[in-house]
Amino acid sequence: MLISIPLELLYDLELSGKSRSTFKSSPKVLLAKIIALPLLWFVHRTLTTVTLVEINKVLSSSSKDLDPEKIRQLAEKAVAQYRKYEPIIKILDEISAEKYKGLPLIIRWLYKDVHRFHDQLSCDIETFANILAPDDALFTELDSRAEWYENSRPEPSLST
Amino acid sequence: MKIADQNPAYQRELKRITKKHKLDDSFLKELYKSISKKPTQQPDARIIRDHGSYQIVKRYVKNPKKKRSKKSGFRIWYRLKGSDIYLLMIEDASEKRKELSTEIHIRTLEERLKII
Repeated sequence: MLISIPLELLYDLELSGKSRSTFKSSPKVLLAKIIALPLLWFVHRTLTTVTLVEINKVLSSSSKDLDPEKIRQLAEKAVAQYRKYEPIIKILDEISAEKYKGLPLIIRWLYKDVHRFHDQLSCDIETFANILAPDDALFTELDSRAEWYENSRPEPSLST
Repeated sequence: MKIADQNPAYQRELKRITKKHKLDDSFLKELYKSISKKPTQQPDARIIRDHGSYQIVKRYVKNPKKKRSKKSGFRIWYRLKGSDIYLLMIEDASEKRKELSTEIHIRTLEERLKII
């Protein structure tokens, strides 16, 4: 999103060689970020909701019917949306660092809400990676365990 | 849908995880209830492989002992065949944080598929 670009720039200019983990904004800059936060949150939440609805629709259909091109496009969309959440997460982490319980309720709610969406995108990206670029070792193990039921379990007898 | 069976390897993994996180029977009862009720519930459980006669589902489960998201909870894989559910594998995401990191998955998608 265009709105997140100034914030990214702000971070890059401010950082200038400092580590992100130890970095703290000046009070004025932090205030500017807090003011920008609700707008950023609203825009990204709306866009993410649309993306997640689309992902649910596609991934809930049988994988036989899945169009690989559609999956690729959705994976790209999920990654892009995940990246766009990063400036908001950074601001919230900065505001709430070590003071989570003392924060106003609205910020705590925002923090939870943003992480909920960010986590869902993260889980979906993992699913896309599983479908589009499967881990061979994992799937070999899963397939052998799934086939174990066929080979070791006798079929129920029809005659009584 | 009903849970028909558990793979011995799954049982071993589950035993280790429940012991490590001190999870009680109520957690498993709740989990199996939700799996039986909606085995492909969106967005927590997705079909990741379709073999025709059966499907493999991956489910993201929150660890009730941690105040963290389902991303850092457990992953359960099960096989769906007809109305039967066969539990295959369970993994503790906190033990494999590095491999399960979103950045790793994004890189995998980028490298293998050149899509992004």
